[in-house]
Amino acid sequence: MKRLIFLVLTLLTAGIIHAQNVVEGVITDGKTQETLIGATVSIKGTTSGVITDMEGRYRLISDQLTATSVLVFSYIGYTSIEQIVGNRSIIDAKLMPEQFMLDELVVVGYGTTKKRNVLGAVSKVDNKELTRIPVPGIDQALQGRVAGVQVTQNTGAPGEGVSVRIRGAGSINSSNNPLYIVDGMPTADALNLLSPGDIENITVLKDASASAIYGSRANNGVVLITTKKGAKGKTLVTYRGQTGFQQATRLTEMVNTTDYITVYNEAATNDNSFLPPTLARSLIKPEDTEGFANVNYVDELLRTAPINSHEISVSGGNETTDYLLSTSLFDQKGIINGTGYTRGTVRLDLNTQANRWLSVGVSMLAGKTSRDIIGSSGDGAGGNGGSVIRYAFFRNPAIPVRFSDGRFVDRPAEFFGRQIFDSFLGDGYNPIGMTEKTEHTRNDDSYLGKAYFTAKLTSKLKFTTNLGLDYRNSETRRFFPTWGTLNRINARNGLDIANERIANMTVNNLLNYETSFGPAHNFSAMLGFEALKNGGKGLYATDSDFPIEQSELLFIGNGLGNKTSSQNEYTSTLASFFGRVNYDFKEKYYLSGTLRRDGSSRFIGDNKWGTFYSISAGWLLKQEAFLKDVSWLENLKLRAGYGAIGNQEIGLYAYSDRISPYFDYPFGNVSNSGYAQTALGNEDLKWETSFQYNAGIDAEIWKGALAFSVDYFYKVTEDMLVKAPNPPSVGYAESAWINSGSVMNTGIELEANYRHNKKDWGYTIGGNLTFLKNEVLKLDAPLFGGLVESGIYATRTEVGQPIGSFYLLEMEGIFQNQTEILLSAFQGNTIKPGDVKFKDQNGDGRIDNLDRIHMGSAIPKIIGGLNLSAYYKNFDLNVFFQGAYGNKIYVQVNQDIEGFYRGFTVTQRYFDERWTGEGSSNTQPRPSWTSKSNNARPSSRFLEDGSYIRLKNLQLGYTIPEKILAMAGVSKTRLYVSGTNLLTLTKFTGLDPEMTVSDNSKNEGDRSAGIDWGTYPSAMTIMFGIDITF
Amino acid sequence: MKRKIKEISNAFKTKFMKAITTQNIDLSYFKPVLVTFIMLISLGSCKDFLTEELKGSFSSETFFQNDKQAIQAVNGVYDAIAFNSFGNALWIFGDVASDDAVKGGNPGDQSEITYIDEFNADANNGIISNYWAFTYEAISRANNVIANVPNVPMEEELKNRIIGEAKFLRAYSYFNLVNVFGKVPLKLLPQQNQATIHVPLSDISAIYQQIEKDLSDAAIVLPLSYNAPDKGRITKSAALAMLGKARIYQQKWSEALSSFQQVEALGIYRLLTDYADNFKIAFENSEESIFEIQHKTGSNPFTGNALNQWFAPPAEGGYYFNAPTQSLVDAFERSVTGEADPRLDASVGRDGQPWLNGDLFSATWSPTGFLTKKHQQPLSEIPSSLKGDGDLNYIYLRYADLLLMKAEAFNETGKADSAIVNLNKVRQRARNSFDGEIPSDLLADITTTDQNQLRTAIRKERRVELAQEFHRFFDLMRWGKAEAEAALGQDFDFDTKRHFPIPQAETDANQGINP
Repeated sequence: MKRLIFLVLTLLTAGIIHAQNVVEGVITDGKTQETLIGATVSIKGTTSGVITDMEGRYRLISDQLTATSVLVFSYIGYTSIEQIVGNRSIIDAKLMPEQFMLDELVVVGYGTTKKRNVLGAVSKVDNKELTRIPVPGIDQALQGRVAGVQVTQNTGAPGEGVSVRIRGAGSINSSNNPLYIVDGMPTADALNLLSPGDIENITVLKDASASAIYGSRANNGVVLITTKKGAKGKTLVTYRGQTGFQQATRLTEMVNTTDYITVYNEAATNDNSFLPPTLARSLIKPEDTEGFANVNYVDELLRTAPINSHEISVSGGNETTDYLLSTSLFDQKGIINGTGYTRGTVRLDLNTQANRWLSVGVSMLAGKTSRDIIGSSGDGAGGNGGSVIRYAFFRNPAIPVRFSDGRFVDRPAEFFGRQIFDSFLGDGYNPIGMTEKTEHTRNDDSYLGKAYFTAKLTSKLKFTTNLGLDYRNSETRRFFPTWGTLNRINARNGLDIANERIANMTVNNLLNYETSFGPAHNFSAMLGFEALKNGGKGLYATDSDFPIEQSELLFIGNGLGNKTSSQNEYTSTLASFFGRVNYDFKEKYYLSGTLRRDGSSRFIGDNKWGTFYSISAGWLLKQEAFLKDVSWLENLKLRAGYGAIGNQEIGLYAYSDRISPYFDYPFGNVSNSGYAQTALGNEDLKWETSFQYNAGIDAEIWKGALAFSVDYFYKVTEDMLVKAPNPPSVGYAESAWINSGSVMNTGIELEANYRHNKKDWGYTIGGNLTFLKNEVLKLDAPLFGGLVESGIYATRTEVGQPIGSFYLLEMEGIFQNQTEILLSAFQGNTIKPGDVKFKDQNGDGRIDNLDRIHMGSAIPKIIGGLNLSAYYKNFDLNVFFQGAYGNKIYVQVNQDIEGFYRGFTVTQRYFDERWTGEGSSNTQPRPSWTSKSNNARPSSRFLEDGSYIRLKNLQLGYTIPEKILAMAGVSKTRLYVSGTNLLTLTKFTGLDPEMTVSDNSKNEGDRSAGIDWGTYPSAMTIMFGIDITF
Repeated sequence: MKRKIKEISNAFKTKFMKAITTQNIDLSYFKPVLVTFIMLISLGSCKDFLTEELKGSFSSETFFQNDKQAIQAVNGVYDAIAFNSFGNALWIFGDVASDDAVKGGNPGDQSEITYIDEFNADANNGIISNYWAFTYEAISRANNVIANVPNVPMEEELKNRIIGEAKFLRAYSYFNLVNVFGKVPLKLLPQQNQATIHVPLSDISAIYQQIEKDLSDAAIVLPLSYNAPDKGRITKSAALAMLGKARIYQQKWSEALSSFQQVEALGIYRLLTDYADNFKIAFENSEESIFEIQHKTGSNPFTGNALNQWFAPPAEGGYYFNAPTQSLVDAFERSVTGEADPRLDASVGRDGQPWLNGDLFSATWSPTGFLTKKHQQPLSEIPSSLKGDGDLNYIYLRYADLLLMKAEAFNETGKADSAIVNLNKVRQRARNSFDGEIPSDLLADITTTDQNQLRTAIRKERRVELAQEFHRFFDLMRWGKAEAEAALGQDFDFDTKRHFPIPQAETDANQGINP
């Protein structure tokens, strides 16, 4: 009986539902209660929908309307809402203005604030943008997204770091990296642990008024990273998977064997005409070429490499507790054999409202990363081995890769059986052999944890304690096997192990107070104390002469040769008091001030403490009566700020000099231990301070469809922490750090965003542009950087020039004939027609190093990014361009491959453009070994314009209609295909205009940026991805 | 303090517990929280938290505690004069800049050396800057020893010896500096502050005065010889001989002679029977050697001799630098039958002549057709895979040099007879080094007593006896304008090129020079 009644009722209901095909109602602004004209109402998963009329009313009639239908109410600038129809025929909806406008919360130092209240130069990047590009690191994902932020890759090697510059480089010697804060806790090392999918958003604090609350560490800007949290409501399970491949794109073309022989013989003939016959260089005769191969070593070195990424997260919560659990795996093989990067992480985020006044939470991230490294930066000076790409450029195409028995060919003389072949073909390393013979791995175990307790003491007063730990244990292992002709490479094999442990602990206590006096005066204050302790330990061991090169037996202790071991340990501490006061009158006039006092163990005595501050003001014009009724203007804000912030990024214990071992000397034929002073100290060292002005306008018009910001900044870094420019008569000891000189960075930043959304389609155009100028205002003595040839530096940093200004001879062309040589400034006794002609800048009639001039720097004049996204129904498309203009790159590797400067091969470009007689070329000199000292002199010949525009990312996605998915219990699925680095427009002829930092001169900072040693090329990546939400 | 914390935290606890149980917060709880907060702040301001001492490394405050460290410090000075790094460019100035050799090597390799060879080097030349810093590094290390070791509690005799060694090494370094650059900053104190870092140029005479003083001081405290484990340290006689040499360079002939007589009076040195033995591993620290820079292969840290690779032919994995000229080869005497001075084949590799490994030298190995034979070892001693880690010492001052300097000083002071005696000792040994029956007219004794003729003979003798031992350029310069310009040809103007330019970086940064 019961069953029957149920059946009848069900049928009845069904009948009613079927009849129910009309719904009507009014849509209003949930805040102002005004009706909304032109708002959309549609039935989810269908094409039917209507628009509200002049009174905000709608009437939707559709056959597709059932009780289970979901209505979607949407309006530009408002958050869409969904309602299940049920048995209602009248459904009114209140739409709230979208958060990312004025009431959107923005993370600022030690707290959050409404976007409306932000007075400093602050930019925000959301997760959606960050997760588009398949990069392992979030710092890389920042590239091109934020005005004023320049991100450059060091090399294209997987897992390799990037350098991030916010508003230029303020320091000559010390670090120019920004401060990274993850969920309120500073981290130096955990950055590589966060997977882009873990990030909710990133906020960049650029000016003093925004960053001064971080005092001594904020000189280079602050990057605040907020991780994802669980949310109240249904448990959400998401999966993001990506798989794809990478391939090299731009490669320098080298000559083939036939062209090589031609140009070799030409060079030999050129040189022989000025040499006594006994010393003449032999030509490569046809009979010598038997057995010559034709190998493209660059191609041989590269491969198509897979890249995979998986992220799963489960989140949810109830009224009092929310949680998020996630795990990720990222695996990338490099496009150079033998390189790769793998990362696995687990993350837990748990927050709970313990009772009415206490909330607590914990966030833990643990991960393991592993890198396979092949030298790919510089010429080996940095300790990772020379760049194999460089070796591939040098390696002669005529030399086969392997002997028939599989061994790698090293010197050509060994393969061809005659000594002369070393002169014919050069004796550079076999790059393919290098990649297989290199065993260099680095494994990191990292942990990033945070816990907090927030007590709501009164309705206006909140007390928070945060505890953070950032821990890393890394092991680097390198083995150098013996190989090559006569075992010349690593004649004694050797093993290096480095074990390092870093633990950074932070505790801070914050007191927040917020109140209003009457209806007009709003006041909030924050008071805080923070203590940081960073410590590290390292243990290093080496062993050599292993009788068996078998990896299971390659352990310290098994070698027969010298064993060494050493150890280090360091600690640094920082204690700070800080406070912030915000006041506004009727949310119209704003004033804010911060004060911070930092004490650091890096300085001693009275110099330990530094005081930093900022003051800023804002005026929300839109709130004024005269603008209140301007309907197209949603928001208009003027803001300005001034502040002083510091920098302490110098080595620890810089106050002390150092006396170190390893200066041994033999007596009685036995090596005796020797010590020497290796660093000088300075007890008077104090904080570096930069003073910054910032003024900006934020505007939103057409209900937020168009939003833009303009900022102007002027920043002068004073008492710069620099290594004293000691005269070389001090010897080799590292100079002491001193406070000296000043650098200015000034510029304009623009950010704009336009949205246009219709029911089925819409698009967004967003862009940012930064104009930047960097200039040294004061410096005791010029500083050199970028050693590109024995004793010759490519840059000279001095007053009136940017940091790392290229300082070179200027190439005027090629000497076409003897007369021209005689009529020009004296350039040397051996100059012949076909040699490079330099400009006599000082007019003294001779060319020497005094004729060098400043020729620009690696700092771009303009950087920018452009993002276009569009959707049509279930399809979405995103196109992201990024670029730089006005930066110079010195192509050091061309000093070796654009002429016969070493016994190696040459580029195709050189072959095609070389001088072969009067009038044949004015760009590339004649082939000759003896003219190297002139033609390969560091000069503008090797300096190129590094401007570029790059199609950084293009992504096409399709969201599967939920109707189809509902059956599988899946609520949302998006499939996409994404391409990275698809297109680069540039005049630069090297491998990559983006990569400008090399291993060679790491400790010179920005003074040696923009020098291309032939590094790891960046890859074009094609990815297929899927996002699923249950 | 501790009790107070406890009291407050107890009070806080009770109130807190109450708050938790009643779930009711009022403003009165604010007080204990604020107090705790302030406590935490005061904890942070504790001085100890912000004081971190240097760990695991010595500073000059913690070093120099005992005799072991004093010895380690002076060993470090020796390290700074060895040929284990490319910074030691003594050979470039001594030989390449002279008429004896050219750069050699691959034309493109180390092209900055070419500018030195052609006297075209400017103040930014890398070789010059590197050598300047290299030499001052030794001076810095010596200054630290000389300033700090006196305060080390240790046995007095050893202390004095160590200071004496450091003074010798400082004098040796200044001697090289003054001869390459002329006026240089005379730094005698540890470079710890602006005043000791930024030092103006001193006159050549003032620098020589200090060199003589350091060497005289050293000669007083240094021992005559060392036990086997210390073999290779500076001796008293080395200090005296070096003092004589410094005086020769100032034309203080009779004072130089008196130094040399003191060396001779000690009766330590004699010429080796075979000239070539001086350059062999088996004869290191021989009775002919007065001051010898030590090297040892296979050590970690590296103490090998890099010249073994720099000068070696390409086929052995060498870089074939410092290639001798035809002019040097021609300077060696020959008998009428064409038999060459045996010192030629001990010094220079020539086409078709036996090379170090028993193979025949080929002119194609070098851009001049010659390579230096000194400072190199056969592959049987150092295989080509370890080429840059040579074992051979470098003898800066040997007895033959002393004899020739004596001859010169005697001749300049009008004592031709004594000059001839010393000169002929050197010629006699050379003659006797001839393999086989000595041609009767080869390297005959010099008999002239004419001062000018004798001077020419002595100078010629120095060139061949000390060929490729990095002395030639300095000899030419001290012999003066006529001799130097005749030898170096039209590229060379004695008045402007006698000294190499002081590095630009020094002029730029040294506020003593460029205030």
